[in-house]
Parts: sequence; structure tokens; C-alpha cells
Amino acid sequence: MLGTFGLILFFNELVRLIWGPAGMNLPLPPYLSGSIEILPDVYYPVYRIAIIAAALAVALLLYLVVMRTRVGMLIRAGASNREMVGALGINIQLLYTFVFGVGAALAGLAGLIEAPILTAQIGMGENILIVALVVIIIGGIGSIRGAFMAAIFVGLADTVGRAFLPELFRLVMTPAAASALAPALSSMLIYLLMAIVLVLRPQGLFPVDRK
Amino acid sequence: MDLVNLAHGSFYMVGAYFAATFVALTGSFVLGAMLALAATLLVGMAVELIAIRKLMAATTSITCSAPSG
Repeated sequence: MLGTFGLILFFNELVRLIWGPAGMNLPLPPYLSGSIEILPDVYYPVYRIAIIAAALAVALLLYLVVMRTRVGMLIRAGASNREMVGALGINIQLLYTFVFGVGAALAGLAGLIEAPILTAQIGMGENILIVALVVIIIGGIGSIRGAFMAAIFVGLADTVGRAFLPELFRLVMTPAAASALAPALSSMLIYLLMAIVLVLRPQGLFPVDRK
Repeated sequence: MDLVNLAHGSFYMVGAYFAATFVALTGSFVLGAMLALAATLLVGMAVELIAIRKLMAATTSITCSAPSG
């Protein structure tokens, strides 16, 4: 884990060498940059809908590959007993390299999806790590289904918290106290959720069976 | 696998930079995005071959007593 932190430093400097210290913009094509009316008088950016569709497509594809194909079967087998799969004549090292590469590509996909909204810049990845960790802990370490459910749960909790907590607090306390407390609490909300999950179900909401 | 991979943050960044570069080069968002995905896949596999494999081999003896997962 510490070694992979070293990789972060390495990649930050490598990107600085190749692309320079300034960030890069990724302009959207015209067909993705408009808004459409999803409800009467409610407009929503097309690109955000494309993000939701892409995320669901990735989730479905990942599920199908891991659960319904031979490669997925080998990945699951390798995760539970690496030596045994190797002994059965599978090149488990090559498989691991490939799985690691796919993981990297999926992270890269997330980055390229975010690039038009934020900009591509050095250190952009560190911000997502802590949220990703929260999602993994809440979902249960090693559980793909758990990660999927927890990601929706954490995303909703974070957004709804930021949107509605200030209003909610204004009902029960003075506006000054509410405007001081609400932003603090809403940015803490997902970590509070993680703490509650850790107390009640330390193995996460959707733990993997390890028999 | 039992590896907490913090380098995903880096792949996220690298994917964004590749996408910005390839989209600018090809002029097509979808084509640039697909090239960026392929390039990030290759970077990930190279990192596994060069660094992760050796890290795991070097640390397994210390960490295998930790609860797996």
C-alpha cells in the first residue's frame, strides 16, 4: 500500500515532465454539451446523463465479465486461491497483470469522464481516493456488488446532504448557527456513515463469503 | 489480490491527460476516449509488471499474516 503511494508521487512528476505543470482542458463535442428538458422546466446537461449511462454500462459489463465468462471465473478463482489456480495450469501472473491493467483502465475511464467537467491536472486523483476508500469500506472489501451499492448510497448521501441539510437546520436553529454547522456536517456526512457502518457491520454492508 | 492500490488515483489522472491529448489529436471525442482507455490499460499492465509484482513478492512474507480482505 505504501509502495502504491510512491507510485502516486512518481506519476505526478512523470505527468509534470510530459505534459507540463499546467492543467489540460478537454472540450466536449457539441452533441454532448447541451441540456435537455427531463421534466417540464427542469433542464439537465446531456453530458451528465451520458455519465450515468456510461457508469451503468460499466457496472453491467463488469458484472457479466466477472460472473458469466471463463476469464471472470478464473479471476474469482485466483482471488480465493491463487496457488491452486496456478497449479491447474493457468498463467495466473499474466491474468493478474491483465486484471491490474483493466483496473487501471477503469480508473482512467473515470478520469476521462471527469476531465471535461473539472480539468485534467496534477493531483486530481488524490481527491477521489478517500471517497473511494469510504465506498469500499461501506460496501465490504472485495465485494463488487457492495462497491456498486455503496457508491450509489454514498453519492446520494453526499449530494442530498449538501443540498438539504442547510435547509433542515434552518428549521430548528438560528440561521447563523445553521449556516455554520450545515456545511461542516454535510462534508463530514459520508465519513459519519462509514463510522456507523464500521460500528454496526465491520465487514461492510455486502461482505464477500470467504469459506 | 489483497492490495489496496492507491495508484488508481494516478491512473485516473493519467486517463484524463491521455483523453485530453488524444481527443485533441484525433478531433473525435469517442475515438480519443477509446485510445485513452487502451493507453491507460497498457500503462496499468506495465506498472504491474515493473513495480507491483516485485512489491507483492517483497511484502507478502510480512503482510500475509494480516487478515485477508
